[in-house]
Amino acid sequence: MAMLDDSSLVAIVDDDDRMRSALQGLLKAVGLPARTFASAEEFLESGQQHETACLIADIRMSGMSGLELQARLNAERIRIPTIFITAHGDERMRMQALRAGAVEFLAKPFDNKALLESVRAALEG
Amino acid sequence: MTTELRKTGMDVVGDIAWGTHCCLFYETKADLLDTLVSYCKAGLEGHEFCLWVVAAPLTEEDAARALRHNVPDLDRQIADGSIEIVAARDWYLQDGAFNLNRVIEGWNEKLARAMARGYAGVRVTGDTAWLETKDWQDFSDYEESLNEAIADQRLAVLCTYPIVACGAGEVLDVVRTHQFAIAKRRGDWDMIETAGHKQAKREVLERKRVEDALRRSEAYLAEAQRLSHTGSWAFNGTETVYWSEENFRIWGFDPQRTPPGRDIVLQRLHPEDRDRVLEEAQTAVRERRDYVVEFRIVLPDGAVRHIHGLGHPVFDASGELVEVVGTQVDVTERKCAEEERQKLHQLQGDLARINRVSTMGELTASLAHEIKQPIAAAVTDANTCLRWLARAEPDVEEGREAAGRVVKDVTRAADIISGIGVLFKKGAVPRELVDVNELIREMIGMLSGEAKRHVISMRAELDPDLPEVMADRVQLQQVLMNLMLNGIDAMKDTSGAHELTIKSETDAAQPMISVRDTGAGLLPEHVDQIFNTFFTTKDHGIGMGLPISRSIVESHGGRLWVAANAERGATFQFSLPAAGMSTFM
Repeated sequence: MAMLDDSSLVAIVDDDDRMRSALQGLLKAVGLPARTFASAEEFLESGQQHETACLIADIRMSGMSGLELQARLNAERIRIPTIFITAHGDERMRMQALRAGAVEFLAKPFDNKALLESVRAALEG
Repeated sequence: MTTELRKTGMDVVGDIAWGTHCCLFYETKADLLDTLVSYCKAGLEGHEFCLWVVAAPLTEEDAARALRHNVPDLDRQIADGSIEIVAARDWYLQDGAFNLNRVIEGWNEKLARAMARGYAGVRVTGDTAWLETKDWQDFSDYEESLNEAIADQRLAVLCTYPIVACGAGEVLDVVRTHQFAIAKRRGDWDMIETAGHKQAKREVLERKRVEDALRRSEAYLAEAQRLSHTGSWAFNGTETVYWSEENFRIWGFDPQRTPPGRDIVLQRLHPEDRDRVLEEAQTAVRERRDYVVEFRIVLPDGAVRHIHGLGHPVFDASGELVEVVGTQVDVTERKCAEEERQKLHQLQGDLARINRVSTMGELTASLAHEIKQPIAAAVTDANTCLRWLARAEPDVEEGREAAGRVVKDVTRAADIISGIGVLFKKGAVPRELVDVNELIREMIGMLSGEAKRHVISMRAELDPDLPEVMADRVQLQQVLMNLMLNGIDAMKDTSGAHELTIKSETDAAQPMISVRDTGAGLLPEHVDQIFNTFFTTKDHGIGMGLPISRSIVESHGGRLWVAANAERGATFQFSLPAAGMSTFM
């Protein structure tokens, strides 16, 4: 895990502060520093999208949704392996996300191991 | 004897019945003419055939002249044969001698011809001035037998006698053989009736009165039967002896015919009802009691009618069945309306349930989403905590931080659950003056189908002076519906009489509403939990109804609580501040 010292590798976009802290804490426990953003807009404005190796995003958020963020990045030809986590995902939404290049689509409450495996796969791939 | 009355044209007599045979004693020709002109005129006006037999010294011409004076179209009436004026010699004394039978035959001939030509009857007057002493006895016999001969005929006869030709004996004979006699007494016409005739006349009048009353009452009865679709019948144990017109109509038979036979009637009974109806009627007769039976009949065109039947067996003094009388009411319309109403109630009940379930469904979905967020965070934080502690060298500091986050996550989840009340915060919907009694009546109407389906009777005890409240009408409906449906749910699978009582009363100027069931009741350990979100004792409940109801009541500044009944079931009760006295709004 040579890349673990790059602090901008993982970005977390979720409008729920409890969720942001939990995800950041989990990644920290496995040695993955992550930066958090309370909205898709904040993430795009930060410029971090160009240095992000893995994106963990909620789907339903106030403001721009996770799927819209994904579409925007695709349009700008910024390809970031993306993991979606949602509390009310359905199969249709899941297919849309995966077709648009998402690497994983997890329902809350999610399996932590599955999340971490996806993150590692994204970083190594 | 017919009861039809005819005008005589003579004031002193007035009206007479057909079959009347009377006499008149006259002194002068003028008296005779006056009376007979009136008599014949009234006859012509009553469309009767008139026969005037004149005797010397009066001639046919005298009679015609006098009559023409009062009946201007007399010549036409003579021409078309409505009146004949003939001489006594030609009528009574054909072949020169008086023959009783021939004269009576003559009357009958005239009568037959008149009836055939459409006249109302025959009016006769005959003068006896020709009568000689030798013929007196024969004529008296004729007069006597005439009474019998015309009694049942549409014939009236007035015999006129010159008083100068009569001795006291003759007067007695004449009066005895006629129903009444007319004579001038101190210048005015007077009349004397024989006792028999008086009685007969009274009977005729009485019979006429009774017949009129009967006809009227029959007409009213028929009309009442038609209006109320009620037929009546009588059965003597072997055959039908009477069917009212309406009964014919109800069963689709022709009222002009005789009542249909028992077999034909049984054929029209609905096959599924036939045995039951016969059984019920036979049992009732055997047990000597009345019976009520509901059944269907099928008309030849396939139409089905619903009948409400009632039978009453009648027994004679020795206890033998005389007959069974009864009524049959066509309740098809009523039945259809009732069925429609039932269907509507059922639909309303279903709708209410669907409405409730979908409201609940939406609420749960949105709540589920809200609650999943902090729970997912808690799971992750707890997992993270474990990871720090599971290291070869546990990182207690990081572990504590993660555990701290778990506490915050879970607190958030708890806040969301207790915050359901926020959904019903006032201000979301404008409040209005609500008559809670009216609301209760509406809900009872809406849920009556649902209650009926589970054989539950609903009762309202409403305080007519209940103060109005300022409330969100729809939310209060929701509360009432929740509590009432809960009550129904609590009773539907338990045994015993089921009653849901919805009561409104005023307690310290505050409206207080209670919903009392006789269902399974509450377990003591549930009383504290019953208002908790997601607590349920039902197989398919989601445990949202009562917490939401309580939130609504509390957001209106009221309270909702529950108590187990002393006997069976539970009573949910809530208070609301009366409009104008609220300190919460």
